[in-house]
Amino acid sequence: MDFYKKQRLLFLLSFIAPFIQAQEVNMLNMLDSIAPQKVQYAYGTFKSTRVLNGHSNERMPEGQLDVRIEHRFGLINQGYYEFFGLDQSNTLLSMEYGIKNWVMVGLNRASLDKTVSGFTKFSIFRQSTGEIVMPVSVSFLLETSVIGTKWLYPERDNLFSSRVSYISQLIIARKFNENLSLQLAPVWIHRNLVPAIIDSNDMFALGIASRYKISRRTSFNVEYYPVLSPSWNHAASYRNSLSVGFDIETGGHVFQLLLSNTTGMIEKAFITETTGKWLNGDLHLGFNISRVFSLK
Amino acid sequence: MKNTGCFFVLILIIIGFSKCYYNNEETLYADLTNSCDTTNITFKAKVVPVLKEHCYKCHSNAVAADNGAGIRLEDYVDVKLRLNRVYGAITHQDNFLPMPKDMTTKIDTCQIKIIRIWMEAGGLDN
Repeated sequence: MDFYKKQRLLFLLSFIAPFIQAQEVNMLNMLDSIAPQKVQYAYGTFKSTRVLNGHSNERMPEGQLDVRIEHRFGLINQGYYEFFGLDQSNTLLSMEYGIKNWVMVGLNRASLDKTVSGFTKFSIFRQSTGEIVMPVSVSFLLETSVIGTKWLYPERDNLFSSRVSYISQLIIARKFNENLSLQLAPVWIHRNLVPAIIDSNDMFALGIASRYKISRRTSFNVEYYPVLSPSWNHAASYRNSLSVGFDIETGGHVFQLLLSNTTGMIEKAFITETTGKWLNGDLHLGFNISRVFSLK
Repeated sequence: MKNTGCFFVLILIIIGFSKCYYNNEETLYADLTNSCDTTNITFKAKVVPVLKEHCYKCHSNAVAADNGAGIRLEDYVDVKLRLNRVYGAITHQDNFLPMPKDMTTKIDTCQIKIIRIWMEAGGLDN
Protein backbone atom coordinates (compact mmCIF):
# COMPACT_ATOMS: atom_id res chain seq x y z
CA MET A 1 0.00 0.00 0.00
CA ASP A 2 1.54 3.34 -0.94
CA PHE A 3 1.95 6.15 1.52
CA TYR A 4 -1.06 8.18 0.38
CA LYS A 5 -3.37 5.20 0.56
CA LYS A 6 -2.17 4.58 4.11
CA GLN A 7 -2.79 8.22 4.93
CA ARG A 8 -6.32 8.05 3.56
CA LEU A 9 -6.96 4.82 5.40
CA LEU A 10 -5.72 6.27 8.68
CA PHE A 11 -7.81 9.38 8.07
CA LEU A 12 -10.91 7.29 7.57
CA LEU A 13 -10.17 5.15 10.60
CA SER A 14 -9.81 8.26 12.74
CA PHE A 15 -13.44 9.00 12.01
CA ILE A 16 -14.60 5.46 12.62
CA ALA A 17 -12.70 4.95 15.88
CA PRO A 18 -14.88 7.25 18.01
CA PHE A 19 -17.94 5.45 16.79
CA ILE A 20 -16.44 2.12 17.70
CA GLN A 21 -15.70 3.43 21.16
CA ALA A 22 -19.19 4.95 21.40
CA GLN A 23 -20.68 1.66 20.33
CA GLU A 24 -18.71 -0.07 23.04
CA VAL A 25 -20.01 2.48 25.58
CA ASN A 26 -23.57 2.13 24.30
CA MET A 27 -23.39 -1.62 24.54
CA LEU A 28 -22.14 -1.32 28.10
CA ASN A 29 -25.11 0.91 28.86
CA MET A 30 -27.42 -1.64 27.32
CA LEU A 31 -25.92 -4.34 29.45
CA ASP A 32 -26.60 -2.22 32.51
CA SER A 33 -30.22 -1.63 31.44
CA ILE A 34 -30.96 -5.30 30.92
CA ALA A 35 -29.18 -6.38 34.05
CA PRO A 36 -31.55 -7.55 36.81
CA GLN A 37 -33.03 -4.63 38.83
CA LYS A 38 -32.41 -4.62 42.50
CA VAL A 39 -36.05 -5.34 43.44
CA GLN A 40 -38.58 -7.11 41.19
CA TYR A 41 -42.19 -6.50 42.18
CA ALA A 42 -45.02 -8.83 41.27
CA TYR A 43 -47.57 -7.27 38.93
CA GLY A 44 -51.03 -8.31 37.88
CA THR A 45 -51.77 -10.68 40.76
CA PHE A 46 -55.39 -10.15 39.77
CA LYS A 47 -56.69 -8.45 36.65
CA SER A 48 -59.06 -6.10 38.45
CA THR A 49 -59.66 -4.44 41.80
CA ARG A 50 -62.32 -7.12 42.41
CA VAL A 51 -61.92 -10.88 42.29
CA LEU A 52 -65.65 -11.32 41.65
CA ASN A 53 -67.76 -9.81 44.46
CA GLY A 54 -64.97 -9.06 46.90
CA HIS A 55 -61.92 -6.87 46.61
CA SER A 56 -58.58 -8.13 45.36
CA ASN A 57 -55.25 -6.70 46.49
CA GLU A 58 -55.02 -4.65 43.28
CA ARG A 59 -55.42 -0.89 43.37
CA MET A 60 -55.96 1.68 40.69
CA PRO A 61 -52.68 3.31 39.57
CA GLU A 62 -52.19 6.96 40.30
CA GLY A 63 -54.42 9.22 38.27
CA GLN A 64 -56.57 6.47 36.84
CA LEU A 65 -60.33 6.25 37.23
CA ASP A 66 -62.18 2.96 37.06
CA VAL A 67 -65.87 3.12 36.19
CA ARG A 68 -67.55 -0.16 37.09
CA ILE A 69 -71.00 -1.54 36.47
CA GLU A 70 -71.95 -4.71 38.30
CA HIS A 71 -75.10 -6.63 37.57
CA ARG A 72 -76.72 -9.63 39.23
CA PHE A 73 -79.77 -11.25 37.69
CA GLY A 74 -82.48 -13.17 39.56
CA LEU A 75 -82.43 -16.82 40.58
CA ILE A 76 -81.83 -19.21 37.70
CA ASN A 77 -84.04 -21.88 39.30
CA GLN A 78 -87.15 -19.76 38.71
CA GLY A 79 -87.50 -21.37 35.34
CA TYR A 80 -88.42 -20.12 31.89
CA TYR A 81 -91.21 -17.73 32.96
CA GLU A 82 -88.66 -15.48 34.68
CA PHE A 83 -86.21 -16.45 31.91
CA PHE A 84 -83.98 -18.15 34.47
CA GLY A 85 -83.62 -14.93 36.45
CA LEU A 86 -82.71 -12.63 33.58
CA ASP A 87 -86.01 -10.74 33.96
CA GLN A 88 -84.87 -9.38 37.33
CA SER A 89 -81.71 -7.60 38.33
CA ASN A 90 -79.70 -5.82 40.97
CA THR A 91 -77.05 -3.35 39.96
CA LEU A 92 -74.09 -1.54 41.40
CA LEU A 93 -72.40 1.53 39.98
CA SER A 94 -68.91 2.34 41.16
CA MET A 95 -66.19 4.86 40.57
CA GLU A 96 -62.72 4.19 41.88
CA TYR A 97 -59.71 6.44 41.66
CA GLY A 98 -56.03 5.97 42.34
CA ILE A 99 -54.78 8.88 44.44
CA LYS A 100 -51.32 7.40 44.48
CA ASN A 101 -50.06 4.05 43.28
CA TRP A 102 -50.36 2.74 46.81
CA VAL A 103 -53.79 4.17 47.78
CA MET A 104 -57.15 4.38 46.08
CA VAL A 105 -60.64 5.56 47.02
CA GLY A 106 -64.03 4.56 45.67
CA LEU A 107 -67.73 5.30 45.83
CA ASN A 108 -70.45 2.72 45.19
CA ARG A 109 -74.21 2.80 44.91
CA ALA A 110 -76.08 -0.51 44.93
CA SER A 111 -79.75 -1.01 44.14
CA LEU A 112 -80.01 -3.69 46.85
CA ASP A 113 -81.28 -1.80 49.91
CA LYS A 114 -80.34 1.34 47.95
CA THR A 115 -76.96 1.18 49.64
CA VAL A 116 -74.30 3.84 49.23
CA SER A 117 -70.78 2.99 50.32
CA GLY A 118 -67.39 4.60 50.26
CA PHE A 119 -64.04 2.91 50.69
CA THR A 120 -60.33 3.32 50.68
CA LYS A 121 -57.81 0.59 49.90
CA PHE A 122 -54.12 0.99 50.41
CA SER A 123 -51.00 -1.11 50.03
CA ILE A 124 -48.93 -2.14 53.03
CA PHE A 125 -46.51 -4.57 51.39
CA ARG A 126 -45.85 -5.59 47.79
CA GLN A 127 -44.74 -9.06 46.77
CA SER A 128 -41.17 -8.84 45.57
CA THR A 129 -37.93 -10.71 44.96
CA GLY A 130 -34.36 -9.55 44.63
CA GLU A 131 -32.87 -7.27 47.23
CA ILE A 132 -36.20 -7.11 49.09
CA VAL A 133 -37.93 -10.45 49.47
CA MET A 134 -41.63 -10.23 50.31
CA PRO A 135 -43.60 -13.41 49.65
CA VAL A 136 -47.02 -11.75 49.60
CA SER A 137 -48.75 -8.51 48.79
CA VAL A 138 -50.74 -7.05 51.67
CA SER A 139 -53.43 -4.40 51.30
CA PHE A 140 -56.04 -3.00 53.66
CA LEU A 141 -59.63 -2.10 52.84
CA LEU A 142 -61.86 0.22 54.87
CA GLU A 143 -65.46 0.67 53.82
CA THR A 144 -68.53 2.41 55.24
CA SER A 145 -71.96 1.58 53.84
CA VAL A 146 -75.31 3.28 54.42
CA ILE A 147 -78.66 1.68 53.64
CA GLY A 148 -81.01 4.06 51.84
CA THR A 149 -84.41 2.34 51.95
CA LYS A 150 -87.35 3.84 53.84
CA TRP A 151 -87.78 2.71 57.43
CA LEU A 152 -89.66 -0.54 57.80
CA TYR A 153 -91.32 0.68 61.02
CA PRO A 154 -91.73 4.43 60.69
CA GLU A 155 -93.77 4.62 63.89
CA ARG A 156 -90.72 4.20 66.07
CA ASP A 157 -87.82 6.58 66.64
CA ASN A 158 -85.43 5.33 63.99
CA LEU A 159 -81.79 6.44 64.18
CA PHE A 160 -79.61 7.27 61.19
CA SER A 161 -76.78 5.29 62.78
CA SER A 162 -78.93 2.18 62.36
CA ARG A 163 -78.40 2.44 58.60
CA VAL A 164 -74.60 2.30 58.85
CA SER A 165 -72.19 -0.65 58.65
CA TYR A 166 -68.40 -0.76 58.62
CA ILE A 167 -65.99 -3.17 56.96
CA SER A 168 -62.28 -3.67 57.67
CA GLN A 169 -60.43 -6.20 55.59
CA LEU A 170 -56.80 -7.31 55.39
CA ILE A 171 -56.06 -8.64 51.90
CA ILE A 172 -53.09 -11.00 51.59
CA ALA A 173 -52.33 -12.18 48.07
CA ARG A 174 -49.57 -14.09 46.36
CA LYS A 175 -48.82 -14.51 42.69
CA PHE A 176 -47.25 -17.96 42.50
CA ASN A 177 -46.52 -17.82 38.79
CA GLU A 178 -47.96 -16.34 35.61
CA ASN A 179 -50.95 -18.66 35.86
CA LEU A 180 -51.89 -18.88 39.52
CA SER A 181 -52.68 -16.32 42.20
CA LEU A 182 -54.23 -16.95 45.61
CA GLN A 183 -55.66 -14.58 48.19
CA LEU A 184 -56.72 -14.77 51.83
CA ALA A 185 -58.67 -11.82 53.19
CA PRO A 186 -59.93 -11.87 56.78
CA VAL A 187 -62.68 -9.31 57.23
CA TRP A 188 -64.46 -7.71 60.16
CA ILE A 189 -68.01 -6.48 59.54
CA HIS A 190 -69.66 -4.21 62.08
CA ARG A 191 -73.39 -3.50 61.89
CA ASN A 192 -74.63 -0.66 64.08
CA LEU A 193 -78.08 -2.25 64.49
CA VAL A 194 -78.93 -5.95 64.66
CA PRO A 195 -82.36 -7.56 65.19
CA ALA A 196 -81.97 -9.35 68.53
CA ILE A 197 -79.98 -9.14 71.78
CA ILE A 198 -78.49 -12.53 70.98
CA ASP A 199 -77.12 -11.23 67.63
CA SER A 200 -73.60 -9.89 67.52
CA ASN A 201 -72.97 -6.49 65.97
CA ASP A 202 -69.51 -7.76 64.93
CA MET A 203 -69.03 -10.58 62.46
CA PHE A 204 -65.79 -12.07 61.17
CA ALA A 205 -65.31 -13.86 57.86
CA LEU A 206 -62.40 -15.10 55.74
CA GLY A 207 -62.30 -14.34 52.05
CA ILE A 208 -60.62 -17.11 50.06
CA ALA A 209 -60.02 -16.36 46.40
CA SER A 210 -58.04 -17.74 43.50
CA ARG A 211 -57.27 -16.81 39.93
CA TYR A 212 -56.06 -19.25 37.31
CA LYS A 213 -55.02 -17.92 33.94
CA ILE A 214 -56.34 -20.10 31.15
CA SER A 215 -55.25 -17.97 28.21
CA ARG A 216 -53.48 -14.69 27.57
CA ARG A 217 -56.57 -12.62 28.31
CA THR A 218 -58.83 -14.99 30.21
CA SER A 219 -58.71 -16.35 33.71
CA PHE A 220 -60.95 -18.48 35.90
CA ASN A 221 -61.73 -17.04 39.37
CA VAL A 222 -63.23 -18.59 42.46
CA GLU A 223 -64.21 -16.73 45.60
CA TYR A 224 -65.57 -18.08 48.91
CA TYR A 225 -66.45 -16.15 52.06
CA PRO A 226 -67.10 -18.43 55.06
CA VAL A 227 -68.38 -16.56 58.10
CA LEU A 228 -66.19 -17.54 61.04
CA SER A 229 -68.27 -16.10 63.87
CA PRO A 230 -71.90 -16.24 62.81
CA SER A 231 -74.39 -14.43 64.99
CA TRP A 232 -77.41 -16.44 66.07
CA ASN A 233 -79.62 -14.98 63.36
CA HIS A 234 -76.95 -15.49 60.72
CA ALA A 235 -76.34 -19.15 61.47
CA ALA A 236 -80.03 -19.99 61.15
CA SER A 237 -80.94 -17.97 58.10
CA TYR A 238 -77.94 -17.32 55.92
CA ARG A 239 -75.32 -19.08 53.81
CA ASN A 240 -71.69 -18.40 52.94
CA SER A 241 -71.10 -16.65 49.66
CA LEU A 242 -69.52 -18.75 46.88
CA SER A 243 -68.90 -17.37 43.41
CA VAL A 244 -67.15 -18.67 40.29
CA GLY A 245 -66.43 -16.74 37.14
CA PHE A 246 -64.19 -15.66 34.32
CA ASP A 247 -62.12 -12.53 33.77
CA ILE A 248 -61.93 -11.45 30.14
CA GLU A 249 -59.57 -8.61 29.43
CA THR A 250 -59.91 -6.59 26.23
CA GLY A 251 -57.72 -3.50 26.02
CA GLY A 252 -59.07 -0.96 28.52
CA HIS A 253 -61.96 -3.15 29.66
CA VAL A 254 -62.17 -6.08 32.02
CA PHE A 255 -65.31 -8.18 31.79
CA GLN A 256 -66.12 -10.55 34.60
CA LEU A 257 -68.84 -13.15 34.05
CA LEU A 258 -69.89 -15.01 37.13
CA LEU A 259 -72.27 -17.37 38.86
CA SER A 260 -72.98 -16.74 42.53
CA ASN A 261 -75.40 -17.65 45.32
CA THR A 262 -75.53 -14.04 46.47
CA THR A 263 -77.33 -10.96 45.20
CA GLY A 264 -75.23 -8.50 47.13
CA MET A 265 -72.21 -6.80 45.66
CA ILE A 266 -71.04 -4.88 48.73
CA GLU A 267 -69.22 -6.72 51.53
CA LYS A 268 -71.91 -6.11 54.14
CA ALA A 269 -74.50 -7.63 51.79
CA PHE A 270 -72.77 -10.61 50.22
CA ILE A 271 -70.94 -11.74 53.36
CA THR A 272 -73.75 -11.39 55.93
CA GLU A 273 -77.00 -11.59 53.93
CA THR A 274 -76.55 -14.43 51.45
CA THR A 275 -79.42 -16.90 51.52
CA GLY A 276 -78.91 -18.93 48.35
CA LYS A 277 -77.97 -22.61 48.43
CA TRP A 278 -75.81 -23.87 45.56
CA LEU A 279 -77.33 -27.35 45.68
CA ASN A 280 -80.84 -25.86 45.40
CA GLY A 281 -79.87 -23.90 42.32
CA ASP A 282 -80.31 -20.59 44.18
CA LEU A 283 -77.79 -19.01 41.87
CA HIS A 284 -77.51 -15.69 40.10
CA LEU A 285 -75.83 -15.05 36.80
CA GLY A 286 -73.99 -11.78 36.81
CA PHE A 287 -71.30 -9.67 35.24
CA ASN A 288 -68.93 -6.87 36.13
CA ILE A 289 -67.70 -4.40 33.55
CA SER A 290 -64.72 -2.22 34.31
CA ARG A 291 -63.43 0.59 32.12
CA VAL A 292 -60.33 2.54 33.05
CA PHE A 293 -59.84 6.20 32.17
CA SER A 294 -56.58 8.00 32.59
CA LEU A 295 -57.11 11.41 34.17
CA LYS A 296 -53.45 12.43 34.31
CA MET B 1 -45.66 12.58 50.39
CA LYS B 2 -46.21 9.07 51.71
CA ASN B 3 -46.42 10.47 55.25
CA THR B 4 -49.16 12.84 54.07
CA GLY B 5 -50.99 9.90 52.58
CA CYS B 6 -50.72 7.91 55.81
CA PHE B 7 -52.12 10.85 57.74
CA PHE B 8 -55.01 11.11 55.26
CA VAL B 9 -55.84 7.43 55.69
CA LEU B 10 -55.66 7.73 59.47
CA ILE B 11 -58.12 10.64 59.38
CA LEU B 12 -60.44 8.54 57.21
CA ILE B 13 -60.30 5.72 59.75
CA ILE B 14 -61.08 8.05 62.65
CA ILE B 15 -63.95 9.73 60.85
CA GLY B 16 -65.29 6.49 59.45
CA PHE B 17 -65.44 4.66 62.74
CA SER B 18 -66.45 7.58 64.94
CA LYS B 19 -70.10 6.53 64.76
CA CYS B 20 -69.70 2.89 65.74
CA TYR B 21 -72.70 1.72 67.79
CA TYR B 22 -73.70 -1.58 69.39
CA ASN B 23 -77.50 -1.44 69.13
CA ASN B 24 -80.10 -4.14 68.78
CA GLU B 25 -83.80 -3.71 68.14
CA GLU B 26 -84.99 -5.65 71.17
CA THR B 27 -83.18 -3.28 73.54
CA LEU B 28 -83.55 -0.08 71.55
CA TYR B 29 -87.31 -0.45 71.18
CA ALA B 30 -88.03 -2.41 74.36
CA ASP B 31 -90.81 -0.06 75.50
CA LEU B 32 -92.60 -0.44 72.22
CA THR B 33 -92.20 -4.22 72.31
CA ASN B 34 -93.13 -4.80 75.93
CA SER B 35 -95.97 -2.41 76.68
CA CYS B 36 -97.89 -2.36 73.42
CA ASP B 37 -100.76 -4.85 73.31
CA THR B 38 -101.03 -5.97 69.71
CA THR B 39 -103.33 -8.92 70.29
CA ASN B 40 -106.84 -9.14 68.77
CA ILE B 41 -106.54 -6.01 66.66
CA THR B 42 -109.84 -5.25 64.92
CA PHE B 43 -111.13 -2.12 63.26
CA LYS B 44 -113.88 -1.48 65.78
CA ALA B 45 -111.97 -2.47 68.95
CA LYS B 46 -108.54 -0.98 68.36
CA VAL B 47 -108.42 1.25 65.26
CA VAL B 48 -111.57 3.34 65.76
CA PRO B 49 -110.48 4.51 69.26
CA VAL B 50 -107.24 5.84 67.77
CA LEU B 51 -109.10 7.68 65.02
CA LYS B 52 -111.60 9.02 67.52
CA GLU B 53 -108.84 10.36 69.78
CA HIS B 54 -106.70 12.02 67.12
CA CYS B 55 -108.65 12.44 63.87
CA TYR B 56 -112.37 13.02 64.47
CA LYS B 57 -111.96 16.66 65.58
CA CYS B 58 -111.29 17.47 61.90
CA HIS B 59 -112.32 14.37 59.98
CA SER B 60 -115.59 13.18 61.49
CA ASN B 61 -118.59 13.10 59.10
CA ALA B 62 -120.04 16.24 60.72
CA VAL B 63 -117.02 18.55 60.41
CA ALA B 64 -114.87 17.09 57.62
CA ALA B 65 -116.23 19.45 54.97
CA ASP B 66 -115.30 22.56 57.01
CA ASN B 67 -112.22 21.46 58.98
CA GLY B 68 -110.83 18.41 57.26
CA ALA B 69 -110.67 19.32 53.56
CA GLY B 70 -113.61 17.01 52.97
CA ILE B 71 -111.68 13.95 54.10
CA ARG B 72 -113.94 11.78 56.27
CA LEU B 73 -112.46 9.07 58.51
CA GLU B 74 -115.49 7.94 60.55
CA ASP B 75 -116.83 5.08 58.42
CA TYR B 76 -114.85 1.98 57.51
CA VAL B 77 -115.30 2.57 53.77
CA ASP B 78 -113.77 6.05 54.01
CA VAL B 79 -110.86 4.84 56.15
CA LYS B 80 -110.12 1.90 53.86
CA LEU B 81 -110.17 4.17 50.82
CA ARG B 82 -107.50 6.44 52.26
CA LEU B 83 -105.59 3.96 54.40
CA ASN B 84 -102.16 4.41 52.80
CA ARG B 85 -102.53 8.17 52.95
CA VAL B 86 -103.58 8.03 56.60
CA TYR B 87 -100.59 5.87 57.50
CA GLY B 88 -98.15 8.08 55.59
CA ALA B 89 -99.54 11.16 57.35
CA ILE B 90 -99.46 9.81 60.91
CA THR B 91 -95.92 8.47 60.43
CA HIS B 92 -94.75 11.80 58.98
CA GLN B 93 -93.29 10.21 55.86
CA ASP B 94 -92.01 12.25 52.91
CA ASN B 95 -94.66 13.55 50.49
CA PHE B 96 -97.40 13.34 53.15
CA LEU B 97 -98.90 16.18 55.18
CA PRO B 98 -98.01 15.35 58.81
CA MET B 99 -101.06 14.55 60.95
CA PRO B 100 -102.61 15.35 63.39
CA LYS B 101 -102.16 18.98 62.44
CA ASP B 102 -102.35 20.17 66.03
CA MET B 103 -99.38 18.03 67.10
CA THR B 104 -95.75 18.72 66.27
CA THR B 105 -94.78 15.14 67.10
CA LYS B 106 -96.23 11.87 65.94
CA ILE B 107 -99.02 10.18 67.88
CA ASP B 108 -98.13 7.36 70.29
CA THR B 109 -95.93 4.75 68.59
CA CYS B 110 -98.05 1.91 69.95
CA GLN B 111 -101.16 3.42 68.33
CA ILE B 112 -99.30 3.71 65.01
CA LYS B 113 -98.16 0.12 65.34
CA ILE B 114 -101.74 -1.01 65.90
CA ILE B 115 -102.85 0.69 62.68
CA ARG B 116 -99.90 -0.79 60.79
CA ILE B 117 -100.62 -4.32 61.98
CA TRP B 118 -104.31 -3.94 61.09
CA MET B 119 -103.35 -2.57 57.69
CA GLU B 120 -100.91 -5.41 56.99
CA ALA B 121 -103.56 -7.96 57.97
CA GLY B 122 -105.74 -6.65 55.17
CA GLY B 123 -107.46 -3.68 56.77
CA LEU B 124 -110.66 -5.65 57.32
CA ASP B 125 -114.01 -4.31 58.54
CA ASN B 126 -113.93 -6.33 61.74
